[in-house]
Amino acid sequence: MKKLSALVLSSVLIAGTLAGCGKEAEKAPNEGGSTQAPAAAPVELKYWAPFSGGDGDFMKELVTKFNSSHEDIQVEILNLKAEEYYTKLQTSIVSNQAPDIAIAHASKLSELTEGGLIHEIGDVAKEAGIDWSTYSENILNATVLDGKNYAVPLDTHALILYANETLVQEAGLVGAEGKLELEGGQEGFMKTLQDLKGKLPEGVFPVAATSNGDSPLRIWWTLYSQMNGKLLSDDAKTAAFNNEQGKQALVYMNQMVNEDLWPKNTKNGGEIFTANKGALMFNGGWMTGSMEQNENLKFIALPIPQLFDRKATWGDSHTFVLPIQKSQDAAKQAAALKFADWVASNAGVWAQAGHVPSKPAVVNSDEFKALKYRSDYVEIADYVSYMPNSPKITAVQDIFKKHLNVMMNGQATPEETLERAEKEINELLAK
Amino acid sequence: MKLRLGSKGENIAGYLFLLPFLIIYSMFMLYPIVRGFVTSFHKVSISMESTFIGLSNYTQMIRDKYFWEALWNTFYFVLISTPTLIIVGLTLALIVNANLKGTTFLRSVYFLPFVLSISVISSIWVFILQPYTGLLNTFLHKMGVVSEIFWLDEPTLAWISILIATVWWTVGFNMVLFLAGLQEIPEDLYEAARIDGAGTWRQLVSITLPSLKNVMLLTVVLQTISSFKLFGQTYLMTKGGPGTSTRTLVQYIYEKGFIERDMGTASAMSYVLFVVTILFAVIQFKFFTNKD
Repeated sequence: MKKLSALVLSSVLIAGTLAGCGKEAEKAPNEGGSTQAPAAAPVELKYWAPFSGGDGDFMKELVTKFNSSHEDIQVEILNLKAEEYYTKLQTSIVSNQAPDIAIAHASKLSELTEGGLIHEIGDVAKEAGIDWSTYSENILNATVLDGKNYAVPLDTHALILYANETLVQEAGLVGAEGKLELEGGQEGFMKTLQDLKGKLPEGVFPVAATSNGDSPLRIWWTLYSQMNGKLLSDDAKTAAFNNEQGKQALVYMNQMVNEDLWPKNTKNGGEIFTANKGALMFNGGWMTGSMEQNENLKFIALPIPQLFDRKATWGDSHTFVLPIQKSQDAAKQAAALKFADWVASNAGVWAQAGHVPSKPAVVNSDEFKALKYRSDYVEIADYVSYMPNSPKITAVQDIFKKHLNVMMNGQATPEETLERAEKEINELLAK
Repeated sequence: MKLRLGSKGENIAGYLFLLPFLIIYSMFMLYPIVRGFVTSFHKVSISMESTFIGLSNYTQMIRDKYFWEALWNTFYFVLISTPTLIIVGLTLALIVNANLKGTTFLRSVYFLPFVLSISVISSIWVFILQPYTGLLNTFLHKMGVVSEIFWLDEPTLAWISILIATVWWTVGFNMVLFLAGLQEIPEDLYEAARIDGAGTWRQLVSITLPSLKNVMLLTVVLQTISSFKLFGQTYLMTKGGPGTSTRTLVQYIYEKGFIERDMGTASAMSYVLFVVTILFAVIQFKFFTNKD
């Protein structure tokens, strides 16, 4: 028994140490302005964000810069894990402990407004001196619900096309000018993939993209948006995707899978591409920031080519929102939006993560142009296609993803997928 | 055992010692249990306003085919995992209880995965089992297997993968319970048996297993309950997929509650799970104790 208890005890100790290692020390930067006392007490703002990895570092850098250049406003950032971010944010608002300013994805705004969790910001924005015309129209539109502004957009992050420079060069896809030459149109692009398959070394994927979860949904939405497709009816009460265009987009994806151009059940497209095992990849622009640090990878980043009627690609935005407080403090609210507008105006740093800034002035700045890759796909800001506004959009997407997953697995046809998803989404929306 | 009733003063002191525990227990255990029950009769909006709707959450739940699927998946996992974890746990305990060299080392080795968190466990197994780049498939390709095996994307294989990961993760705990039981068995019983000419197998069947009855009961009950609560492994390894074929009740509750924000239905389903689990525990206690 002695040995046993020693074993249990030591295991517990090990568990404690391991748990300690696992926890990231997420200290808020507290540099600027904390030592010297300014004349008037500064407005102190609590700011929540869901940024991990590179995104988190760039955001902290921005906050530090802001704090050191603004004596009257001090921002304290709390970076939360993305998976639990919205649960925590919503709970904090309901329990009157909300931060003064928080990041929310444009696609979440409808859910947040429906629950009465965030403020309409039109008036405060005026007071804070925000000029909406300095924002890209297409990106800004995604933050306007029923004609009212609810958020300050920071960026757009969209699905783009990456190519492994070494591999596509060997396959002869790079022309004399060093640019990737892809045939446009759905047949042309498919033919390119088929040719690639013939020319690529054994074990290299023509297309590397994750086959489950968000990735196939985003690809479908991109193709479907290129055919002007709608996800939901205008009143967001019924599903509106079970149609010829919706099917055509799925059939196109199915063909890539069935011909082994996009091998079945790919778990981590990004990992495969980064390991030089994929020629092309559909993935978010945020991959740029991490992939450019990989010395063994040479890649090209491009907008997704126009395969159907118009240019379009899936995208979302990080935006700043003002959570509802127990007691409103007008000074804090104005300060919070000043901070948001400042970050959007200084998003050159943010663009290092791979996102496209929301202000054309930033996009045209030398700081942005000095960054490699970003300018090659910056045009997406004009035609990025957002998911429709619906307080149930997350659940709607989950249903769609679930059925899409079965199709990508080869266990359902495009028709069955659309029918099942339509039926369940209609049931959900009717509740 | 009879309770000795002390003086009134002693009793008060005793309750005072219990107080911190009781407060925390009521706040984080009893209150949520009651509150969950109440919530299951309400429709709760995102902003937490609730309206009483009687049994609607329950009737809606009964008509939901995904609820039944999730409930079946949960049962299925209980059925395949409980015997496996008991048998493997007992076998490991017998191995490390033997008077051989290196058993102390083995005890730690078998127990070690249990101290890791579920996210670590799942990442390891996804790394091993994923197609194209996974450790196992790469190994199989080297051994000459040409086809790609989708460990996490075919319903049957996915369940096997989840089972293997779970066994690797938690079997050490059952082993420790059995080991404790084994070490309580007096050595003279074995000595007497050996004198009477009983072989190893005979000793196992006639001495070891009967003596472990209480530990066995405890382990089976604990194991059944924890198998009913399966969530992390499936959520992180297969996301409940392909489709919904490995989605368990706890995952469905989580999705209803925190993604669809339908706290009422989520609470109703939680209560179904609660009742089912209790029922099983009671049946097992009865089943084991009746034989006395």
